[in-house]
Amino acid sequence: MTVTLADLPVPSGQDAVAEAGLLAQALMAASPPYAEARFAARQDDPGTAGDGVLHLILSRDGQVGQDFYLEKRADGGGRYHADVPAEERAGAVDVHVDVGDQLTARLRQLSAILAATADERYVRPVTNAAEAAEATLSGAGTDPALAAAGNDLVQACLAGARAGSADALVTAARDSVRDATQQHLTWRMDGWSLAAILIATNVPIACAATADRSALDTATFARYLGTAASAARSGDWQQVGIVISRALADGHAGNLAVLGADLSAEAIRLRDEALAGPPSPMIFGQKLFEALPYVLAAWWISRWADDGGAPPPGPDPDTWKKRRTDAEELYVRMTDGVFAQWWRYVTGAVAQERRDIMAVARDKGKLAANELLRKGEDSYDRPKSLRPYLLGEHETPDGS
Amino acid sequence: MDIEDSIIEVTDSIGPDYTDLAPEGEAHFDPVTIATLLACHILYAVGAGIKDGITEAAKDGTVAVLQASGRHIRDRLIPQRLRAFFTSPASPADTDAERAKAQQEAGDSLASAATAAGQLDPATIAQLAAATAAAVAQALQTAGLKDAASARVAQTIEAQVKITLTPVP
Repeated sequence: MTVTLADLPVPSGQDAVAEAGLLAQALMAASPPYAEARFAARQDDPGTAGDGVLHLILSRDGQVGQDFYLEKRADGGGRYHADVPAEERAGAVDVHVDVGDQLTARLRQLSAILAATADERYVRPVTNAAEAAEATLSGAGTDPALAAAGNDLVQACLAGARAGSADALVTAARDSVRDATQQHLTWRMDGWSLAAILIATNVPIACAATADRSALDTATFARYLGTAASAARSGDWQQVGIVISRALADGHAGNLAVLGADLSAEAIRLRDEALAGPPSPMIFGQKLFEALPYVLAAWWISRWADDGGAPPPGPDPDTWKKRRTDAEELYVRMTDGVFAQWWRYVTGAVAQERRDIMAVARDKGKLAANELLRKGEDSYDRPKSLRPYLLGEHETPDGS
Repeated sequence: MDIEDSIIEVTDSIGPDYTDLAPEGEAHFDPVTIATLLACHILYAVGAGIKDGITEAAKDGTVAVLQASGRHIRDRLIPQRLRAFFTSPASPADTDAERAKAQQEAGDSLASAATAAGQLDPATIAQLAAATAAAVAQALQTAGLKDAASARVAQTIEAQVKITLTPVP
């Protein structure tokens, strides 16, 4: 039977501190509306057996905000589709989901409990996340934190242009990334908005680099940065994509290929640190949380390049479509992985997994048990350091 | 040699990066099974490649065993063959059957390689293991696996080949 949020009482004390941190991170990983929508869709999933296509229709305050299709396969797997062929659409089962603010409301409850009992250093970040989530869930769904960062960048562009200094612009861009990263780590800015800042600052640098990458063409840099900063002021991360579109139209696909590979490599480096790290769900989730904006930015570049028919980024099999698919695989699983740290904590999933894996190891052997271990690791549910606990070699997750 | 241990070592070395080897479009696959099948196929290719390389070198004295083995391994790890694994079988029963068959083939292949290698001296086994690892890494990189994951797989394959080919006293 599916566990619902109503089945889970709001905790107190140290449990409240732990859950609040994990939930705040889950909400802010990609974006609060995305987390709320995915959670609501899962909770409302009618659990149709076997394969088939579900048509998810998401509403908030009575207004349909988004709809998509979920292909369910016999093996229990699923696949998201923005649209499906007409014959599948005709046979799809409509599922209406009221997205609401289930996660944000619970975080508010936890925040209130923490405010009464916990140290300010725990309370402040959780309050940040609750406020940021409420801000993006209301209005047009735009992010005020991104809009403010865009505004700062515009002001810096104007100051740099007046001074005629490329160095001042580069400094402003780097400061912007540093500030946005700090806001992301303190749960005031979500992952998509930080990805937008990474795009807004790094695409201009990539396009303005001279052939030997030793200097920047000031005029090109200022033009691109101005375009991106103006778009960011809207608070809508999707608007910042215009700078990618412009760079591709101006023939900078090669520069974007290098940038996309660098962003993707940084995401994978952080993911590998998570998988090789300690068993703490907070630390594991935080590494994935830090990795997400990089892979979202890489995905975004590949998506625009693929849709725009840009020249291949490298020799076969390196194509924009392949990069797009890889980045999508990575960001969906990473987002789910950060989310899973909260959900697994509140549902006590790891203890049940331990029982299952020990039983499989006993009855079916080590290869079958290893497949279950990898299933949790490849979906970014848990790090490898939990293996001794899951196999029954340790009595506690941290080996104590 | 325990084939299950070898498969576990190779799947762990690929880790979650097996998706690098998928076709460029949207692929449907069962992630846990796909990694096992890929690991089995890599081990099969290693065993068969070493055996064929040794056989070829024995027939034609001008052929160097290291190069021949490397070539035979790469021929079995072409990108199209690896991408073909990313189409899941129709049912869990088919998956179980395919996994069991792949495990058997990998075990038989490595056993044949060990027989063909006979009483190679430790220095030659070490050279063959290094050449095999390099061939696997090159083939996987050509198919799209990124450098870090390819290096991890190569390190694992080198160790597994040494274990497989070193005669048990």
